Amino acid sequence: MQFGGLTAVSQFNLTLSQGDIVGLIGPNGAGKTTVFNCLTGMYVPTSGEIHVLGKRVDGLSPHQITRLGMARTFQNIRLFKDLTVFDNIRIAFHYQAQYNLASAILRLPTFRREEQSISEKTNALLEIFGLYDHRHEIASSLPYGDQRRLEIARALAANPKILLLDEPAAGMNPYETQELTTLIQWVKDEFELTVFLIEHDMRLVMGLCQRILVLDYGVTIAEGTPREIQSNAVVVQAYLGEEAL
Amino acid sequence: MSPASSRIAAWIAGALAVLCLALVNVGVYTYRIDFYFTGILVVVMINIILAVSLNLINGFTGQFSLGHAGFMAVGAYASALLTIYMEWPFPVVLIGAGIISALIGFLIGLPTLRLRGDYLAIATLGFGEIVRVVILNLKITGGPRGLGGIAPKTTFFIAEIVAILTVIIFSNIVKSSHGRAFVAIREDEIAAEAMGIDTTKYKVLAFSIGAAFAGIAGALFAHHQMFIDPRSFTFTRSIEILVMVVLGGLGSISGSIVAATVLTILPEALRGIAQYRMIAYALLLIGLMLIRPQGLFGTKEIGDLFRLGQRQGNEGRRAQADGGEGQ
Repeated sequence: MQFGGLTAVSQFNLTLSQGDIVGLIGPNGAGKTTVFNCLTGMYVPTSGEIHVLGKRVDGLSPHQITRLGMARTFQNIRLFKDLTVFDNIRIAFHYQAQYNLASAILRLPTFRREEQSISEKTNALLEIFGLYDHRHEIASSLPYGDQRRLEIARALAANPKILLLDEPAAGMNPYETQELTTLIQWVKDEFELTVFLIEHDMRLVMGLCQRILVLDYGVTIAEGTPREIQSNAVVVQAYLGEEAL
Repeated sequence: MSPASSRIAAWIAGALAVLCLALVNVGVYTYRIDFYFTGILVVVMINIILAVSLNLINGFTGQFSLGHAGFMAVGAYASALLTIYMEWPFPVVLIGAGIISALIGFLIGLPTLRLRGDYLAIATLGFGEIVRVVILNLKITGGPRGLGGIAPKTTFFIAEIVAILTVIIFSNIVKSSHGRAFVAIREDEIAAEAMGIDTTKYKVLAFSIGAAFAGIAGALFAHHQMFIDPRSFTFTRSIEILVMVVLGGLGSISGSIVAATVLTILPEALRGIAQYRMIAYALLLIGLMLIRPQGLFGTKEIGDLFRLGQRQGNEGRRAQADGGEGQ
């Protein structure tokens, strides 16, 4: 991926199979979020191809890629801050709503039925994520950890088969990180997802991921199981540091 | 306020509002309310339609449009020409004006909605001016002399019915998944797009719907004034409508209704103080923006005033049931 004269990502190959949990690690500025943005359609890759579930998606707009089954969370939480928790999740059900504008204006039975269905699905997700009691609160008033969970819940409302998590544990203490690790594992099993995540917190990465890719200056410098990565000298030098061993 | 008493309060308030409206209607019908004031009421209805339609674009979808008078002009002139040359019945003319304005809104929206914030504002401002200048120079629109001889087909009752329908339609749009999509775009366009919402489509849709009803308002205006000229559709007009929207609350339909009513009647009510009228009007606006910048209603609707009490009631009761055991 090239921005004018700057090449942000030059060597990156990823194959995800159903049910994988793969992590992407690397120093800040390595190009990890750029990879995410290319995958989700926010950038159009200047070279290379992206295929999701058999379909070529590079060049499609983000909402089209989401509808094909790939949802994401953001590094700097992008919740709908001034809306309620309930509405944040409800909005992600929009593209799945089975009624058109005319139905909404005329308040036809299809509208009422679909709205009921959306509300039920939203409440179900809220229950799973322990946010049901907070559903009428404004999203920005939630504690930080809850906001991150809400963002994941919202991504799930978009009915993805692949979930991209951008630093989900950022700003969390060890206890919260442990809970998040359990949550992600559970969500992946329960919703039969494939997970690809960016993370700096090694506890989460090593605890969750079956495979890890390491990115440095836009180049993949290693790929393997957590154990292999931890003992990889190049990775240790570039990123992990001696303490990780 | 317990849920029961807040519901009763809501019903009482609703009944009062309907009563007021009924009284006004009776007054107009029996000519108790004079011709002059009836005219003001017609303008109130037109302004309500303009404010509510602009609110969808600026308030709910968060797109900064400064060209609403342009859409109004398109509707006004289109409807006038239809009445004069085609002599179609008024309802058909109204719908025709709406469709033509919606089309223009769509054509304008498509290229300009890539722009954000200030740049979009300038583009829409430019559009409004282009419409005005085109009207000024075309022969069929009468140029600077304007277009007269429009049959006075806008009665108070017609304007009122259209205004009520407008409010119902926009309320239904806003309280639906499409409405939530608009709001999502306002709140965080990138996140909205990432959640599967086609943001370009919805921005253009908001623009088109808003334009359509501005056009209908323009048509009502043309058939009320019986004469239209480009000077009625200047940038200042766009700003006047914007002021109503901002004052009422960006994202509140109730707010737009109240603000449109107040801001139309206020200059008339202030006629008593003659030359100080505009000073008082301006001071009022400044004062309101200082005290309450989010507008009279913010993003809330009238119904929320009552439901708010209900929600607090529930939480209070849950706290009591827990006996303060804590989480």
